[in-house]
Amino acid sequence: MSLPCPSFKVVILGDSSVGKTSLVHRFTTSEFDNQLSSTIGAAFITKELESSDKSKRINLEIWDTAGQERYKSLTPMYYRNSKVALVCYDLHNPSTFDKALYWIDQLKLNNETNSEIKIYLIGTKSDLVTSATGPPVTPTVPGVADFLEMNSGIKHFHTSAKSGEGIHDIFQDIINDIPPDFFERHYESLKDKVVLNRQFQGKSCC
Amino acid sequence: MLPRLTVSTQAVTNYTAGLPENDLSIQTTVSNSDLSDLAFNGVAKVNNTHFQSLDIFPKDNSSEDEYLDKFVYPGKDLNNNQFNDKLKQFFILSSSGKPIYSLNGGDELIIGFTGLITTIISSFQHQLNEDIVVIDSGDVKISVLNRDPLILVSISKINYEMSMNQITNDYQQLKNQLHSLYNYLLCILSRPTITKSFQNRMNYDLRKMLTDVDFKNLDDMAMKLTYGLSGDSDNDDSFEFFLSQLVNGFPTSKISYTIRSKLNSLLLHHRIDEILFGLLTSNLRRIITMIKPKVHNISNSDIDFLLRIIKNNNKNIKDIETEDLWIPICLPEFNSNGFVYVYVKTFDLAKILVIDGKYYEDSQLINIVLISTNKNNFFKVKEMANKIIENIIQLELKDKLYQELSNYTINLPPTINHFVYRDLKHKDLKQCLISNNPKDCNSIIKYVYYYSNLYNSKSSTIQSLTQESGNRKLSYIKYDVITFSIIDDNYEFYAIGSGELSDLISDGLKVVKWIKSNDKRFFGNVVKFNF
Ligand SMILES: Nc1nc2c(ncn2[C@@H]2O[C@H](COP(=O)(O)OP(=O)(O)OP(=O)(O)O)[C@@H](O)[C@H]2O)c(=O)[nH]1
Ligand SMILES: [Mg+2]
Repeated sequence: MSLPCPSFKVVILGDSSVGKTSLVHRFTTSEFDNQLSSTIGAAFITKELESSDKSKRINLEIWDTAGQERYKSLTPMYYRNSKVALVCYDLHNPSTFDKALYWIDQLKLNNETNSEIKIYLIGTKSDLVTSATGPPVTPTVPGVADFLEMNSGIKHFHTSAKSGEGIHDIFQDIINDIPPDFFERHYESLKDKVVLNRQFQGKSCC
Repeated sequence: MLPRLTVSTQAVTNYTAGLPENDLSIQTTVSNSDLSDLAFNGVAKVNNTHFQSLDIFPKDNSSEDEYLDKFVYPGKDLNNNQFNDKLKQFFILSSSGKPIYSLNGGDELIIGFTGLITTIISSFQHQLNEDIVVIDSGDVKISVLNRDPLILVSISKINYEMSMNQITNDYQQLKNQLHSLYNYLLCILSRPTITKSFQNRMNYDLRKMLTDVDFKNLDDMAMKLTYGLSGDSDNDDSFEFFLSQLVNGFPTSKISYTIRSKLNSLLLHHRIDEILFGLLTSNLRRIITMIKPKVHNISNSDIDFLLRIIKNNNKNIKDIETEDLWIPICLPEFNSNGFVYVYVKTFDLAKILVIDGKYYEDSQLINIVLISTNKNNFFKVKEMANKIIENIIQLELKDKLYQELSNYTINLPPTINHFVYRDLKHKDLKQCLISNNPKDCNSIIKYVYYYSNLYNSKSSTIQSLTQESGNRKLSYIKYDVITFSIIDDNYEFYAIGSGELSDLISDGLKVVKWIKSNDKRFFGNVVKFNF
């Protein structure tokens, strides 16, 4: 009998229209929709993920939050128990980086009091800034380079929900980064439960 | 009496041009008659008439598609003439005149119009303090709803919106439309959010708080409430929405009593404390069952908005069954000052039914909608929903439930083309039963026209239609078809048919009788608990 794999919560943050929902849909369905409309509230999506070397398996639980200003006050609830936050900005729309910085500040505040959330900075819609024929251009959103230099713990990815670039990589990076003891603890606790159950059943038998 | 307005502004004159000359309202209204007088000769085939040959809208020789594009469907990028061609306008602006929403036209056009609107409003300040006014300007009706700091306006040139409801002596439909648009804004923002936004900054741009979805939803609602057509050409349930708003009843589904009560007790059994209302719906369109506290009510309009917002959201999502939604929403008629948190899970009944090792082909989506007062308890609510789904999977009758939901066809007597039956007996939720809906634009527009006129006509003097009951009211209007209503203390029945009126009435009464004998399958699907 195989034991259920551990759950792992990821929250996706960022300004409205930067492509959060598109990113999740690309990851879960491998499709891209040109005419997606804004998320209302939040969606909770689950998907099983296996590391490419097949050594690890997790049940990803993703919060796709709404970027619209009016939902801002709800967002803390979504990142409260998350292990990873993907903070997105639109490579094609530099002003969205400000909102990303806002969320990163909020997460850092949260990290001081609660459990650590690992932050990824994601530049989205790379297809819009990369020329189709020539060599890939490094997109330059003002402030990003400086920010990364000062925050060496934060990983940076470029993605495109349209071409699929970078999306697989993020989630592989997430799963590869999970320390082995996370899995050990999970399976230990499951075993304990199984043992407990057996004892319990044994008793009720007699 | 409402004051007659004489605004000699160019905009109104332009806008009025090209209307049908005669104010064609209701053709015949018989108020008091004996059935024997009602002989009507000449059987009409309802589907032969095109809406363009009726006096609903201005005459124009274009094809149906061109006609609809020119006069009916909203456009955002229009020039002055194209804008003036549209038969219906909706505007939402701030009290200081800043445009927030418009069904038609770009910003420049709207700003031109807001000048006019603010003029109108200031000259009607006195009435506006009351609530809502409908201003009669020749062949145009201008309706204004003042909800400081917002003002909502509609301008109509549509025939069936020109006449008052003869029972209430009021422009009910026009008023309801504006209330609906306002309630939509309350739904997504709540009253305090709107008020706060404008505090100390009268010039605030509320559009900052709205998204593309909100504008789509407003367009969609404006179109459905006016024409019964959807904003995005998916007319699947648009007429049903129009009709259920008109008669103020939420569409019900036909499910056997045993299954209904089984599902009800599932909802009740798994309910956790913070769940205020819980619904099972079929495709976010018809209520299967609902639980509610004894002391609290949820109105039709709140349910309507809630489900509509979720439904439009779900159109986005390919694989809806893998997602749980958690949406803060304000239920304006329940409490316009705060938010509730709505959990939504959708699953496909077809995927849990296996017959001879095969799944059913046609999906049958069921939605669990749980309304919570606690924003932080998503996971507990999710657990509740999972238990309900598990129980439904174990349900022996799930096969039958699938059949009942997918075979929602109501057989009609040959004389009757369409009907809506509004139940007045069960008080917890106002519900209605609607026969199969037209989906093509031509029929929808005609039906909207017929039903609007019928609903607004005076349902006549009490008269005895049969010996058994002495308290039914009849009203009818003859076109090439006949529309008629039968109303008593327990129901309202509205129908469109063709043939002899006396046959229609007796067939109508047969339908009523059939519905009544199936009462438990259609209505009374609300269970109350102590909160
Ligand atoms: N070209 C291109 N367009 C994209 C990409 N990702 C998203 N878009 C488009 O950008 C728009 C917004 O995308 P969404 O995924 O809805 O954005 P969001 O961040 O979820 O927005 P909110 O739900 O409002 O917070 C959509 O029209 C997408 O089609 C991308 O990688 N490339
Ligand atoms: Mg989104």
